[in-house]
Amino acid sequence: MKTYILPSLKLTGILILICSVFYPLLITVFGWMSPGNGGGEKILRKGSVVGYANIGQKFTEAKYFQGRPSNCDYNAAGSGGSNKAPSNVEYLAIVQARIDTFLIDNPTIHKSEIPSDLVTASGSGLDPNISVQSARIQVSRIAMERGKSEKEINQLIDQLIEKPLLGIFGPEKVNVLKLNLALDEL
Amino acid sequence: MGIDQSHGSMEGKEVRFGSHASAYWSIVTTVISTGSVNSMHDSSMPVSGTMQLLGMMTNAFYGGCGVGILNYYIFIIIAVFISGLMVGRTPEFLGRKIEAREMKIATIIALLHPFLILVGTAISTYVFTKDPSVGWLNNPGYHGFSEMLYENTSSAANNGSGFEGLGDNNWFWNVSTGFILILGRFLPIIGPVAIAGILAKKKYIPESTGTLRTDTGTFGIMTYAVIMILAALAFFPALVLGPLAEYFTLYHPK
Repeated sequence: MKTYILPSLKLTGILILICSVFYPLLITVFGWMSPGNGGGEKILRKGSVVGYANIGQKFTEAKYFQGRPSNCDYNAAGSGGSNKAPSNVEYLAIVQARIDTFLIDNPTIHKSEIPSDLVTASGSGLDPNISVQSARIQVSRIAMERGKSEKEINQLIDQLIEKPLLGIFGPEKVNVLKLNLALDEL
Repeated sequence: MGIDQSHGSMEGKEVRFGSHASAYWSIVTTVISTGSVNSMHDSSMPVSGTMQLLGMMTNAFYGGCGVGILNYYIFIIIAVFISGLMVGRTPEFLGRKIEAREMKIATIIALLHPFLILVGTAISTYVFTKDPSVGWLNNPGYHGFSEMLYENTSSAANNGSGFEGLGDNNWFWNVSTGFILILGRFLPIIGPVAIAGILAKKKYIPESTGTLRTDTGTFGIMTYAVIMILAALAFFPALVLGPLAEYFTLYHPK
């Protein structure tokens, strides 16, 4: 009896210590070391918080760069993707509608130039980034709305391009919120 | 649809990961049984979906948490026995004879995984076709079948990821996948432990010329073939009905 129960109790105690004390502490330390000290990376403008770097926001006005479509309408309390399959007819109709809307808003763009990330919803619904091509094809519309030259806006995008992690994971991207803030200061 | 596809299928994926890294992780996560995702598997293209399913269907990658190494061990026992019979040598593993009793246990465990998945999928498909108003499926056609297949595979392989379009928070899915989870987790633990107990009781036989060597490349290929045949033979029909059929309708429409 004693030979089995005592070691089991000891093992349980040790595992409780490792799993519910040391491991959470380790993770908390990692959190403190990360940008924003674990509270999220805030983006400030004139001293007030306008958003978080890793949570996407919705931009509808024509003078701003638009982010990706969102299945949850950028509602961070109920994030999620559409879970639609590429063979789903209803889903293809939704994508077609997005393409048509985009072409109406950006009359100078040809359909074959639209990158796929700009008309498909992200998995989280809160994607803060768009690909560089998605930013470039919105330049002519924004230049017209704001009365700026396309060259200026393209230079702004060049400054804000984020390289892929370790050079291999994912394409080059731009943070929509940072880009729009920089746009307002132009 | 005539747009620029250089980024791949981005539905359900984040720009910071891109479609390549997302597809890669979706397969890694099913192989190592963590169930963590960085994209929505339901929106993956059919070939990625097939690979995600195969990762869980094989369920014998060691390094994977859960029962990875245990299932690999079962397949080794089966491979030893089969190749022993093929070349007419005594099937031995680690200096102990493999006999009928161990083989029976190993076969039951190896067949349990496909049995749980396919029976589970068959029951859920039957319930769905009998009364489509239950409304589980987020996608029609072949992909709907894949959703149900994935849910059962994921619970039998203790993975936890899912084709999350499936409306699975109702009593049918909670009860049926609960049963699959318990059986799929504990029986593959009990089986190999029982085999180990039986083998430990046997007398150690030193290696002789009649022994089938298990540390050669040939035996490695043999084990691989056994795993592939068991996984492919058991699951291929189901895969044909699900993701493969979807693939061919996507790229070769009528």
